[in-house]
Amino acid sequence: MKIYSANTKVTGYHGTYSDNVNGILEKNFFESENHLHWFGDGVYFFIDGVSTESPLEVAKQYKTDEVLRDHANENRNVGISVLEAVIKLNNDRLLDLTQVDGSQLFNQFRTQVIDKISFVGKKPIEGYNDYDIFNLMRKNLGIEFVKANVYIKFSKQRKGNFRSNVPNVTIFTVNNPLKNISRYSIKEVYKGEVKV
Amino acid sequence: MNIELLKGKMAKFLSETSANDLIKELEKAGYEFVDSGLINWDQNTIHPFEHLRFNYITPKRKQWFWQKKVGHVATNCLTSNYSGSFFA
Repeated sequence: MKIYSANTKVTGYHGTYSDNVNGILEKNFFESENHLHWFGDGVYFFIDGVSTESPLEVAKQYKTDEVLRDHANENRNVGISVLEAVIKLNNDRLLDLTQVDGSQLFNQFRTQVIDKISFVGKKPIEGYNDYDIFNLMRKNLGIEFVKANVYIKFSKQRKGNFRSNVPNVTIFTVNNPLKNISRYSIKEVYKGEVKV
Repeated sequence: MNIELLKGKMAKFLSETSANDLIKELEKAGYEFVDSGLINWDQNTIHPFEHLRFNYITPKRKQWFWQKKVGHVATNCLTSNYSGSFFA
């Protein structure tokens, strides 16, 4: 098991629209609330980990793909940027899903929550979503950081029709960005345009 | 990660929180809970039709399930005494 020191700094990379950069530099990140996000509400970063490419490149590719998907056929250039930020990690508030015991803890939490509700004869119509279980866990166990390896089908994989379950990137999510991300550490490390 | 600390917090939370409290929390996130009394969800938890709403299992859908040779699942999961395997 990997033991972290009490508090650590983690450098993360976040792709965004260039139009958002000044606002983030001025006011810090804000937590996104989107049910498509894997590990609950938070600011999502790519960090060093299982990827063979740098997290900066991964963030750039992720945003590029997102722009191509969301702005298809608009016949214009969309500005994208990658921001680097230093995350002030408190290890007591970290759930590390890249570690066996971290994944076991989440699985145990989810099972016990669902079993408890099932025991009183209730079930959600639409089923449970990990996103909401993570939010429940974060809120009640004081978790503010989640580290995980995931598989993302980037355009390269889509074009090549790769199918895989093997994680290809490491992500890091952060709650309470005002407390956990130093605003002065945030800097734009890439700026470019995507033609759509 | 301080796994022992998180385990302790989890045990405390789960011991102090009732099922109804959990339901209320999830309802705030937009969940809608139904009484699962008519359905043997325990049998159904690993079933591939898990994602379907139970009220979608209309007679017409039952017939469709039967046509797909999985009718025993669709019909028997509506009872509480189904002892068969979903993978039979």
